[in-house]
Amino acid sequence: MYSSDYFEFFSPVKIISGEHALSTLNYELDRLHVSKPLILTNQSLDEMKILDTLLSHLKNDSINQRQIIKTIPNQATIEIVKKASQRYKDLECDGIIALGGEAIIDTAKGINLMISEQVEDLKDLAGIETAHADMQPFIVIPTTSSTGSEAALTAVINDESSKRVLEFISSKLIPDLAVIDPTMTFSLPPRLTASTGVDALVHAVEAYTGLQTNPLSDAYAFAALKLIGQNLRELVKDVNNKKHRVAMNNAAVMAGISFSNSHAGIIHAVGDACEKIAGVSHGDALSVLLPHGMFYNLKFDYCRNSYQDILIALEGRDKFIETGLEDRALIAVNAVVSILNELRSLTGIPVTLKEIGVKRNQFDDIVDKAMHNSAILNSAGQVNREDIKNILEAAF
Amino acid sequence: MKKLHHLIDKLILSLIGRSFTILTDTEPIIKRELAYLPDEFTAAFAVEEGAPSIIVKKENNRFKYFGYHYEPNNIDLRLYFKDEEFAYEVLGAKEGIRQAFSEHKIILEGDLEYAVSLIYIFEVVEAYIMSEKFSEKIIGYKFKRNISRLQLIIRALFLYREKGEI
Repeated sequence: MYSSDYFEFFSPVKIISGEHALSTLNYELDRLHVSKPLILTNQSLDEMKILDTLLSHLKNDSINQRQIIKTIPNQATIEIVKKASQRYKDLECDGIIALGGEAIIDTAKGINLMISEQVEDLKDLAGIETAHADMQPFIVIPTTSSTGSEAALTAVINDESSKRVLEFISSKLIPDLAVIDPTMTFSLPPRLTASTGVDALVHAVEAYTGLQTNPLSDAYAFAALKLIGQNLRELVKDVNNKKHRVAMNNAAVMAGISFSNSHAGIIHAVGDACEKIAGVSHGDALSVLLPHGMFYNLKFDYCRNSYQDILIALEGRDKFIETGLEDRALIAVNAVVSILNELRSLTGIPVTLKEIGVKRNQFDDIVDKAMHNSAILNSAGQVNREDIKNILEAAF
Repeated sequence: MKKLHHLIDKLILSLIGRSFTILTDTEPIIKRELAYLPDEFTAAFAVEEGAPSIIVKKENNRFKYFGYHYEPNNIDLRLYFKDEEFAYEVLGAKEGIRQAFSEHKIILEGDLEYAVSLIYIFEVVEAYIMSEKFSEKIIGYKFKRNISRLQLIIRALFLYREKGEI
């Protein structure tokens, strides 16, 4: 297989993580010259008083109710981006705060694109590195520890008029600041904690095996895997444990940085396709597909080499030394399977596609969708339709 | 050297654009990917931003080749390289377009699903034009040519280039 020593790595986001991280917010807003931010969140986070927690950390005189949009839907759409952008202009805001998960962060990225690039139609900016203007100050406060969106250069926004999903990939989309405070993610129940943790695990694993894997993204992925191996199961057993929660939040952001630079691969491509065609949850699809995608990658030399690092990260040095060179990659996959099995027994996360509602007669459409996901181009080997069908059959 | 690379880029890109049209009839992968694209879908390929682009357009389940254009309008997808040297790596058969895409060397303006289709087509067309060794490397398996390299080049030389509005 062709390999290149060329890579690009970019991660300008300032990360403030840990207890009392939110207390730095006023200082950071001053530093970014933000006096009138537009705050994006959703109804549930408002009801759970997470929004109140944020507001209690902001100077009272800087926020009026019109600056808070609590109606961001579960999927970012062109329509909501357009409406929120108009609000941003009307109120003459000077920065964006996204409080929530991936949909809210993606909506904020869309608003930043529209405002900064001064376009009427966001669709004009779909694609890779289409933005060139200076962006508005952008702060993310994640409430789920999984997506890594707070450090990622991608946004996925639905265009309901054409029924298409638009992808935006640009280094300009990376936020200026990510504030990762454990008080904002404490409310996640065990099942969701497991599912979001697996999402971070997939990001780190795929970052290791993409065509653009590189020493810097590997370092982030390795650190993320180590934290996931040590903390995910413990956190699921005790979701209010602050130490494990902070560790998993950090793992998620590091996994996000790694896969943002070295790209996702076949697991994400097939998972996204299952989500789009069968309407299943992203986290559930990835949980099911993770071991099957890893088994597929075992046929490539460089993936087997990378998986040896995964073994050290998840199982430690002793296990690595006692495992023969030839077996290390396979044992690494087994280590991942063992984490998934334990999470299943603790929370019931799914292990088959059938269980989550994917139907065999949807396979052709899923294969078609996965083959046209840009992540497939970054996957090891030249993935073909048969490869994806085999993974789907094995996971069914 | 830069001038030589520029000339090679220009010639190969033109050959690739023409081959999109010629191979539509014979190559199943191109037929399948063409079917994935919407009617009237128009794509522009250039070696770098601001350079003239070759234009291909889907019409009646075929690709039409419109030749080189400066700043063309009505384009659904633009693909160009961050630098002409990156283009030379791909067009000079040193690196596959998939690898260049993964390495962030390519800029894409438009829908990424359709871009993936075009990258598959580009890859197959390159495999037809280049040597067996390079072809196998970028395609990943021993692929069967439905038309020889010489036949393809001769047909490309005499291909009708569409004129007028894109």
